[in-house]
Amino acid sequence: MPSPKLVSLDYAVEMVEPGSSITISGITFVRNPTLFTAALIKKGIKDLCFIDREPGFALDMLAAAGSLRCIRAAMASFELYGLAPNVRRLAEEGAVEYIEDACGAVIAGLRAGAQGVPFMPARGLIGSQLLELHEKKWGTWRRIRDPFTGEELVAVKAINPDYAIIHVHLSDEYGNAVIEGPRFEDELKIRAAKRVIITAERIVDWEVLRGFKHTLSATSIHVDAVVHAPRGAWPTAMPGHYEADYNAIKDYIESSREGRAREWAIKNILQKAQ
Amino acid sequence: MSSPRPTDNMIKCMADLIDNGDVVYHGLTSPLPVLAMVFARRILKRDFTWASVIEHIEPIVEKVKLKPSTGDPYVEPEPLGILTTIDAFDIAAKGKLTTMFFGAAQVDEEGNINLTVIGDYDKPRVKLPGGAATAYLFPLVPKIILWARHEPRVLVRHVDFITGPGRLRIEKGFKHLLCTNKALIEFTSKGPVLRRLLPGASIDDVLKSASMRIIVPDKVDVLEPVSEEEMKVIEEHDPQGIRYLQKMG
Repeated sequence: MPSPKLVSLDYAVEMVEPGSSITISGITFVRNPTLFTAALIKKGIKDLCFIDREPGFALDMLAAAGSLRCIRAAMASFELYGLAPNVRRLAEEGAVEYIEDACGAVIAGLRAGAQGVPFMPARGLIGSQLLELHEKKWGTWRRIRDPFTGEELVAVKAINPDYAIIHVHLSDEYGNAVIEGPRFEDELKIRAAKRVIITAERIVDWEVLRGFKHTLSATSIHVDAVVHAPRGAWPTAMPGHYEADYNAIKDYIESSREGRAREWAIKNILQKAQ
Repeated sequence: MSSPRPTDNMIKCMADLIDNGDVVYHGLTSPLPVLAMVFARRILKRDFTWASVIEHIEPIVEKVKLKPSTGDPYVEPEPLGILTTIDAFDIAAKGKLTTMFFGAAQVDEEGNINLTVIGDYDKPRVKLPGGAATAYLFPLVPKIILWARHEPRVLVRHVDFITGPGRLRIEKGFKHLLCTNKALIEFTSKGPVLRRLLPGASIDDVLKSASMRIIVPDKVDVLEPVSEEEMKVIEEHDPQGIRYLQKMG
């Protein structure tokens, strides 16, 4: 039997050390672990390095709260509302190190991280000026030759974030967890990260999972802590449970213009949940 | 029903570039590509595979409805199942993802696009959202359909930063196309060539509204404007007019 890992939100938030690297679930306005992120910024965490493929809302919460030292992402967007407002401000002020990545490269890096190998070769990427920056400035990609055919490829260094915070539809108290609908790279993140915190809409008895009724995205072997977090992705969408709340997102953007995004998140996400 | 605007004609122009047998993918912030895919399927009856950043393969096209995010699963409901992005990009690495759409803050004469910064990378005058899959997919996808506003500061001679390399695509013999609110332009080894005018645009207007030098061949056709029937379909999928937020006219 695995040991139970169900903990309170406050306890799980204390697990995250300042200065560490972090990745989260979802994309722009879908399945972000917003409740956890709100608790993290309330605690006043600093100096995090954030890595993800196409983040949006929860990344911007961290940016608004001054919690970030660096951001590595292929795109940081609020889509039709423009660039993630606080990310844009930090990047243009030079207040954060911004590493622009590419989707296929982030996936390759996470794949290497998940497999426990030092790098993963990837196709594409050649010809972009991002390649020069990654080779010379950040040391994250390098041109290599296929030892068998001589084809030029790009080696992406393994990505092993210190923490992955993944919001799921359901989990048992051991971390056997189910994501319904789009999964993005979340299963790779779970396997690449050094520590995994699951936040779940529903906590179920593990007998509920028996018999292939669900596909497990994480197992107890991968997970360090489980938090019960109903509506824990709001105002981003939780496919099958609730849609993105664009009025709330617009309200957040408005608060950002007035420099009150952190307060907005704590009041509307964290305090409403308690 | 409202009358078609340049945005609507642009959607039709983009839709017509989707061929039977294509495997088509759209990304984030892509209301025009979503509507072009709807137009191609419903009006032009093109038989292609529908995939996207949403990870929903083959949603019910009649039920597609635009929202402020094109990564929102509720935009493309009731799919056959999930095709993860990981899977889609592995398919691309093998050349089997045939058609992709990209927006751009700048496009230049070689078909390079910039989605990274205006100005210097370390001291950006304007930070852009980032290229997402651009750098990865440019060397891999046989047909790319760019969309951008037809303005001198967008259609430039040289981009400030090459997020996606166009020249490499042309050398590979890949199709590299650009739909603007005035024209359809194809990038060739000789440079950008005007292929089609959108309704209401003149050759003179197309050339004067761009900093890039566009080649005008002997024969340039003109897109038939979006009809009443076609407009009805576009509006059915975007009753709120979210497509106009892209400011293409």
